[in-house]
Amino acid sequence: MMLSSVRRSPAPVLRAAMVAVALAALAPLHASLRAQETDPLARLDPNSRFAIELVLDSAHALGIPTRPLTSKTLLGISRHVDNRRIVAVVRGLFTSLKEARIVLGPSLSEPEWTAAAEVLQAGVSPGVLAKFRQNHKGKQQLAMPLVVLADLITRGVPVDTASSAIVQLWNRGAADGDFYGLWKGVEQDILSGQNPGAALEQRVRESIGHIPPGSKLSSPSAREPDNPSQ
Amino acid sequence: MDPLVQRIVQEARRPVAPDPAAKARLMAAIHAEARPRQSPRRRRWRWLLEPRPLALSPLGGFAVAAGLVGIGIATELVRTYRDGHTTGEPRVLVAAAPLLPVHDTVTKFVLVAPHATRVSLVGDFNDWNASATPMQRTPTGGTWSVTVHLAPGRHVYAFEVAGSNGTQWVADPSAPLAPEDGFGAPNSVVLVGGSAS
Repeated sequence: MMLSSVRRSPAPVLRAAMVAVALAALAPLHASLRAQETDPLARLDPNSRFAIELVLDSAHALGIPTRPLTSKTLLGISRHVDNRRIVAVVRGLFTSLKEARIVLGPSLSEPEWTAAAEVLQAGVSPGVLAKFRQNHKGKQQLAMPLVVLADLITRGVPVDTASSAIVQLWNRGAADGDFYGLWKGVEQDILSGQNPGAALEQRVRESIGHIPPGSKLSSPSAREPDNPSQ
Repeated sequence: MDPLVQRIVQEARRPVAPDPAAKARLMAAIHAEARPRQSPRRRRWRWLLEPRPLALSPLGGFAVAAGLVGIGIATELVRTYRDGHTTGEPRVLVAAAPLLPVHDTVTKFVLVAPHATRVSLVGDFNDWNASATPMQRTPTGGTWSVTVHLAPGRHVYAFEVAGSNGTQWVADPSAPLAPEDGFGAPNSVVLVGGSAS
């Protein structure tokens, strides 16, 4: 009788201890599941995640915006792209963001910065991108011309043709609406079957007729001389 | 009882008067013995590392385990990510208008897709999550639309269109194209609030 009670008494203690240990063991699992819900990077394999986090940390340390890098990662994840490919693409964007700042200076807004990086990735050389630097100080915003430039290249306009056309309009002080109008016109021409490069050159000639040189610039000395051959 | 045994018992029962100075002598001898000297740092380490029994009731053990679980959950609730987003904080939808430039943060996206069974708006403003921003089919049929609030800036987006041929990712035909994204998907760009950030 006595012996029996001695044997039974540890059972509740043991059970309670097992429950406590089980709960403690479940805590990391719960945290992991929750992390997958709230932290999309948790869907990367550990090595790729580590590589992406290194890029994000480097960007943060250099004062480069991390939002475009995170967004690119999430885009790859949502497209079910191979993790190594995601890492390569994000690293490429990081490099372009760094280069864009070197070329255009540190006073870029985030939209300008991202647009400049993507223009570099589309094949525009840093030397051409640097031509946008002059009038940027004249308070013109770079995002729209760069978005239009990237679009034109993506639609098949040769990089040199597209670059020189947009630089020419930029140096004349074209406004966002001018660039948007140019894009819309060229897009319609391309859809109607015209050669992309020829369509752009025609539209630029028309646009330049409507934009007096330096119309948006406060200081004419800030302008680059126009090159009529372009 | 045997007298010899009786004597032994009596002797054993006889109270012994201890020498009052014995205790003092013993303690003096102990104090006189050289103690190994330990530095305060070493003593602290020894205190930290020395194993000792910890008495804990089952209820106490359960409370400790529950506390650890609670700390884990609470930590998770306030985690801050590298992009500055905090777990508990609602994500703000970004704004972009297919027509540029605009200065509103409310943007309507429209896609004509008469044969689609489902269309979603995906972009950097909803972490490219196809279930985050479903588009509504207009009563007349083939047009899908959705209105979202977007923060000023440049946004990249696309439409995920589901139909009888599966799901396709398409760019907005009424907006500028973004350069190839590295993953083979076409995307569009919208600037909200002009090109200012």
